[in-house]
Amino acid sequence: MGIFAVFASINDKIGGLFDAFGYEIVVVPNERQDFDQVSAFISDGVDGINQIFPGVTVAVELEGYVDPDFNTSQLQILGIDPATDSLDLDIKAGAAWKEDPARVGIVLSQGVADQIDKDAGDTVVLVAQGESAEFPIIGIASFAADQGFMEWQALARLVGSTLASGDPAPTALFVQMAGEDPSADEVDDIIKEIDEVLQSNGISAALVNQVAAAEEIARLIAIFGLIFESAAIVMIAVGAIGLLSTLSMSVFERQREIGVMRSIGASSFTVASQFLTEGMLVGISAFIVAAPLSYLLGLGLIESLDITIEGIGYEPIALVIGLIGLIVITVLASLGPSLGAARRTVSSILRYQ
Amino acid sequence: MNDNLVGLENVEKVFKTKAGPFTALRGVDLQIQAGEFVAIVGPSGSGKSTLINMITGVDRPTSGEVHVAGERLTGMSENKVAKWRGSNVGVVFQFFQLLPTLTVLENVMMPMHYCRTYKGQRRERALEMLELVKVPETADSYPSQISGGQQQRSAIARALVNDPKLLVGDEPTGNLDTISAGLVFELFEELVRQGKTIVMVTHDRELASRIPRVEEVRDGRIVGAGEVDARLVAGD
Repeated sequence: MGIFAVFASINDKIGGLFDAFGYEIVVVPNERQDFDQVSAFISDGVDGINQIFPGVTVAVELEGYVDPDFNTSQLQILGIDPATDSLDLDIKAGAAWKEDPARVGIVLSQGVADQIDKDAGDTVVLVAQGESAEFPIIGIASFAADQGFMEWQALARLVGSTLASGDPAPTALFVQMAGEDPSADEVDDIIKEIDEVLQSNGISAALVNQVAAAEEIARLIAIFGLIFESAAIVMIAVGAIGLLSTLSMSVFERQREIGVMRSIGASSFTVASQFLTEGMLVGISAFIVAAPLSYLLGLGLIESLDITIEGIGYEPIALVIGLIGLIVITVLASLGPSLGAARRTVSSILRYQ
Repeated sequence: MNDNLVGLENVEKVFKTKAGPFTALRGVDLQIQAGEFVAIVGPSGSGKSTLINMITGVDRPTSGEVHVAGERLTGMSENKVAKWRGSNVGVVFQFFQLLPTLTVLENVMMPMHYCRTYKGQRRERALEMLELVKVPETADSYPSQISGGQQQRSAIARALVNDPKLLVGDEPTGNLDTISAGLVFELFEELVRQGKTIVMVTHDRELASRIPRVEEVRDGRIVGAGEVDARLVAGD
């Protein structure tokens, strides 16, 4: 149950993380480029593209923050165009860019805000190129990873990503494909075309397939989950066989009782339901013991997997699913012995006795 | 047949054993009127218990007809017989067969639960039955906490609780000391005086001699009725 609870949570959070992005391809030119120019190359040269968004992807020092994985104060910050649908953030506090897409400030993921003990309306200090700058926290977002979000031009200026003209230059372009939910292969085809177009214009760039990345992570999680869940299924099977054996022994040992019940008017249903009820009581008792243990196991599993994604935890729905599963397994394991008991006749019991 | 509470007609019962077929009853005819007190006697292995099992519906005849309390048991399913038995026949066992995990009162209430009778009055009815068999003080005790005689009286209370037409005992005094056996037998006599029909298997010569009608079973046949043959009830 703990295993299912944790992996359900991981799948949910990772899925949510990629769902937030409104693009499938990240283009990172090796040199600073004019966004409008590169964007035009791609739009004109490649079919199947819906929109291209400017973006900045950098790590910036955030005062008071410590990265739990690398033990540094560098925080990954994503620069976006808030006026577009390049990113769909789940804002928990503050208005972010809802009313003013040009608003200056930073949105922090919940995990970062909790760690530095700040909330919407507070300010944070970012350090880049040896200079500090104070930014208001304009929103707190529910986001699985430690992350900051800013308006891309403000972030580009902060980290010194500018053109010779002094205008801010994006460090990346986010490409949104036409059509709903393209597959990783479809995205790869577009990536090849973009790469050819860029190279033909003398621009070299790294291209990232977001869909493939999400699928790869999901596959890894599924493999880990499968291993743990297989072990859990073996344990469930052992438990079910144990219950089956216990009830079978109980029926065998209590034949006299069954005979007495039958001789004073108990129907087959009454006899069967008694053993089914006993099986259910054993199952529910096991659940009462297992529920807190599974919670501890889940926490131990998160600890051992060293997952620092915000929001990963023990999904309470797993308790409900676990209870339903346990009832089904208990009923299946109890059914045979219970029906066996119901089929016993007084004469067969008396003869045995 | 319709006037009889119990009617067995040419009943034969053959058990299949590893050693081959074993005939426990051979063409048994038996009629018992309502209100009778009947003893079934005979040596061990003669077919007494099989005969009792035919009357209670515990066993079915290989051939022949069994009618009890207006029902033809021969064609009834095991489930239907169980329900019918709970309402129409009270069974008293030699070894009491009270369930050890229940109190005496709970044991007595069980048949009412199974047959869905006396709803809302089950506790009172069970206490009334324990009063009738003169062991009301045992109500809250567990079977292991009371004497054999008290256990058998409680078992009789359980057998009577659904007001059955017929009470059947398979050596109900066989596991009791003389005094307790006497008390249980007096209870049976009192129940017969109140109109109950009782059929009991017994090995007790003295008790059998006090029963108005005695049926002797030997080698699967009812071979005689009337006086008690000391050889047949001499005990094992």
